[in-house]
Amino acid sequence: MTRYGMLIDTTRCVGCFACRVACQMQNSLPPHDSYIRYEELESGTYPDVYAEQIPLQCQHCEDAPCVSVCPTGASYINKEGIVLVDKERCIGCKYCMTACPYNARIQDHATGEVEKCRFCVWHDDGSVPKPSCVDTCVTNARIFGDLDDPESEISRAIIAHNAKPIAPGLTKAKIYYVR
Amino acid sequence: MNVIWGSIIAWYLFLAGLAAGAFATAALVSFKNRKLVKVQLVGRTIALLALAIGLFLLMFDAEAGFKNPLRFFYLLTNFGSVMTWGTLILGVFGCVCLVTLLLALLKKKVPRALDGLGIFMAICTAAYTGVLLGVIKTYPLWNTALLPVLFLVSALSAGMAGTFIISTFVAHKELEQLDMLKRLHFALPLVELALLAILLYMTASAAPAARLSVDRLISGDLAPSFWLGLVIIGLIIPLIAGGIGSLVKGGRRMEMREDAQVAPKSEAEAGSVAGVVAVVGSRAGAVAGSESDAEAVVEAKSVAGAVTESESRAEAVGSGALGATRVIDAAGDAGSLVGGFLLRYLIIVAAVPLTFIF
Ligand code: SF4
Repeated sequence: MTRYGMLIDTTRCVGCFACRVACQMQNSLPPHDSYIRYEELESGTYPDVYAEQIPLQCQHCEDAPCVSVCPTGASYINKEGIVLVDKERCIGCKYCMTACPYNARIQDHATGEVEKCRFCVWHDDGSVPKPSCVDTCVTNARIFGDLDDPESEISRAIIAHNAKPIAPGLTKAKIYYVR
Repeated sequence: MNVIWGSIIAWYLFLAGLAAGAFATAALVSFKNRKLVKVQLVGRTIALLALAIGLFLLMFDAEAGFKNPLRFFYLLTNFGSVMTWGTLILGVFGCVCLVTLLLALLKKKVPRALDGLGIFMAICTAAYTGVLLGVIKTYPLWNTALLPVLFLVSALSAGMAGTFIISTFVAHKELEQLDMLKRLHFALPLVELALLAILLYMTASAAPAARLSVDRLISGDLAPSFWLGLVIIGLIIPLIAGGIGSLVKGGRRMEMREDAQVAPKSEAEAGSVAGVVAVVGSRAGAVAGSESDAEAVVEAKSVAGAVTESESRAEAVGSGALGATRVIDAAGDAGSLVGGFLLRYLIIVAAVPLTFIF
């Protein structure tokens, strides 16, 4: 089985936001909308302080709350474990947006449909290109691949860096963070 | 802060609750005394209208569906979603509202079973609006089992208030026979206050981030509407209004009992809590058996200027001035309605998402 996931290494992230721009280009989003957002976390006490830039996007949860609340079945998980929105079914009720604890969903202002990161999948046919954010990242902070393949780059990196979902108790997320 | 649902959804939640409460009021009145047709009609009309407006707002807010209405049929696909349950509940409840209103308008008997089903669906409707928010883990303020209960009580309170405030103008004579129900509805704010306090306390002590929601309400940017709008206007004023109403009515009832026993003329100056309120009116009521007679007597004596109150079965109000308690009751009802909306509005906008990055 293929089960796509991503690894984001915040210790490599320089906060240049290139991934967001690439994502916006890829998905023809206006400047004020994007599927990637950032949270900044400061830690330590002066003078020994540390600022961490944490890129956030859809975590492609295995137990996706957005999918379970979606009344029309527009939100679904495909066979590769990618959470997708069938826009033809979306009524724009925004229930999924409230349900996503990561605040990863946005509404298309023209159509009212809800959308989000889809790991750059266009078709549900299994052909998955490398997501734009991964392609773009200047410091190679992002790795994309098959979590079920123990030999894949991502699987090995997760073990090597002991990467974990951003909030392990919240949902079964498939984006792993190195922090 | 990124607010996903706004005032449109708050209006919807309020209107759905109002519809549920108004229907329940009408059905309860019908169980108590079928002859009180006007109050029932008022309740049933409010129920259907509020539900229709609410549903329109809901669909209007669901922009993609509003633009492609056929997509609304997909609403019946995911039976794990509370919104899908809501669709089913609203469908059945809407039908019951429509049918019972039509029966009432055609002056046909509304079958008890239908009213019973309607009450059940009304409870489902009011409660589901709370479950809808309650299952959302993102917002600790919503994510409690208490919310459906609070919304249920508030729905009954708003529905009764809506029905009674309109009945005051179109069916005040019938209202006077509904003392029990009126007393009940003025006690509901007390329950709401308690539930609200527990809800906020629970949320505040749940997680550090959850506190933010509570802080916004009790001391932050939303504090004015919370304290002034919801607590004072929405809950305290109805309570006070209900308290005054009960006192005055209690006094009046004793007075009337005396009137019935003693010879009519002897105690015109009998002091009561109501003080100067139309003793003439109440005596007329006690003496003359039927309302119309009583009114005739009152009119004949033309008790103009007497500060009367609606409770007086004799309808001394016929003289023109609205009874003082009637005004107070109406103020309480209006407060309940304001409170019903604000409760939902504040709970929606005060929601602060949980923090998950540490
Ligand atoms: S991160 Fe949000 S949008 Fe993505 S699957 Fe999880 S709940 Fe759904």
